[in-house]
Amino acid sequence: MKKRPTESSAAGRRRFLQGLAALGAAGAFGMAPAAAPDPRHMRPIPRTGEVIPIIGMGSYVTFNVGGDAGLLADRVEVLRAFFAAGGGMIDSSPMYGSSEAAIGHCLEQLGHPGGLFSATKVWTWLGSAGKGQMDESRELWGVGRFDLMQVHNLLSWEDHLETIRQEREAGRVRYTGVTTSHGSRHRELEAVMRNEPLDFVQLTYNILDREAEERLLPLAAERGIAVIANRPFRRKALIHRFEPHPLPAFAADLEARTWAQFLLKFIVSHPAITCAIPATSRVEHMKENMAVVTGPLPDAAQRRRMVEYVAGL
Amino acid sequence: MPYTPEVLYALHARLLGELWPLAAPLALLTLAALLAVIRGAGGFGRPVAAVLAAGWLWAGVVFHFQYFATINFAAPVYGGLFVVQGLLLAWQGAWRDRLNLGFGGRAPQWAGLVLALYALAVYPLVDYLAAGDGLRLAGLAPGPTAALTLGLLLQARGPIPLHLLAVPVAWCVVAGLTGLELGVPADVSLLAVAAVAMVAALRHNRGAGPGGAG
Repeated sequence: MKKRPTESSAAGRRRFLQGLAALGAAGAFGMAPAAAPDPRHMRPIPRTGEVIPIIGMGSYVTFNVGGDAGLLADRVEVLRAFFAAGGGMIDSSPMYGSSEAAIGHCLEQLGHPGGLFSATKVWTWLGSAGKGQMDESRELWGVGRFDLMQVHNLLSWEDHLETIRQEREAGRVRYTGVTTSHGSRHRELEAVMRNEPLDFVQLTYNILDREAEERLLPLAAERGIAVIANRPFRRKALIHRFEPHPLPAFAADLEARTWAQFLLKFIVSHPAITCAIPATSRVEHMKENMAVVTGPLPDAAQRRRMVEYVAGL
Repeated sequence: MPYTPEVLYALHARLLGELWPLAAPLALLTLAALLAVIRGAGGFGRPVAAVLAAGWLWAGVVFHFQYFATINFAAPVYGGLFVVQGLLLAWQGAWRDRLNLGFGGRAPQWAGLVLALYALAVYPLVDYLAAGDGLRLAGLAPGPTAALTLGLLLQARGPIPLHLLAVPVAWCVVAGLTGLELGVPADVSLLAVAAVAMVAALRHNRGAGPGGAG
């Protein structure tokens, strides 16, 4: 059964209408505008109800271009395609080499497009160095505040959560999160989720790495924590693994034309997942990923069929 | 790895493009160092060690700290080790003159000669054929500098100080494994360089005896 994009919340429609109003459209018609639904799949951040698109953008490796002018110019086009397709969340980290600097460059080149949901991380053993790193990240991105600041891989998380709390009070951060990847440290993540006032967690979740379904995703739903799914393709490994095989016939019902879309639709159709953050350095792949933002998503039965199909490959 | 081969090659190309007036003489000196050792007349240990030391310090300070650190968080650690190796070569070879290098025609030295020629000519060629950009030269880039150092140290007239092999061999292994993951052929070859160098060095030292000539 197809599931049309009906998940746009009232907040999402509000933002869409605010955009129209800003363009003067409502005034031009001299009447209150009808509630035109945002065609994008949006998911709420439980703590506030603010919504973000279900597909964001990771930047590990792909935006670490080391200041090369040609590669930077390429990444500007990737980010242009991201925003043109209704993208919002960009996720990075000081651990990703020059990625934050490249993102800042691209945002500047694009005139700091609206709709950005800026997410980065703090990544240092030293609790005392956390604030300085956050300051540097803001400078590299060229933003006055981050929407989301996460503790990278739970590194020195006690100290950094306190620093993030102080940054929030100072108005330099809006949401707090912690991250893991590769399925590691789930026990510790679970404890942090139970005991700390988190807005977001980031973890690895994809069609083969589904351990989070057992405890972490239900816990996130119960505790009202937004979930960012990283490593949706295990970098490129899942694409390479599945590409020799045809997509199942039912993929057409989901408008999944490629394996990347098939895999992303599986991830973001989990009700506890807020968004997935595939990374790419190519415009055509960005468009392919972002098409998921507006197409149908699988229901529970279709999700089971997806898992069964790839298990048989 | 947090970067791609494309970015790595671009980084080397940018380094050469920005610093070639400084880099070119150093690269030429590495060739002169090899010729001096092949000539084997003795008395070249000190200048050859100075050239190698300069290469390690350059690769540590300029490449690792200034360039590689922008794309790889581990680069400062690597850079620190390169500086240590540069200082060791400068202290033991250039300052105290404890490296007597000269080609003697024995099997380990032939192996060293092959490694040195590989570092100076084949590695950059393989790299260029793979990337078409970002030429990595001995004396400037870490990989060929490590291979050249191993090749020249195998020309020692006497036991090779094994502590001088530690960082070059370790780098060849690290870069080789990284090359395997990224698909950088020239760096993968450094695994073979490390293996050949270790076997040749141990054989050389067994034959050299404690006093020197071997």
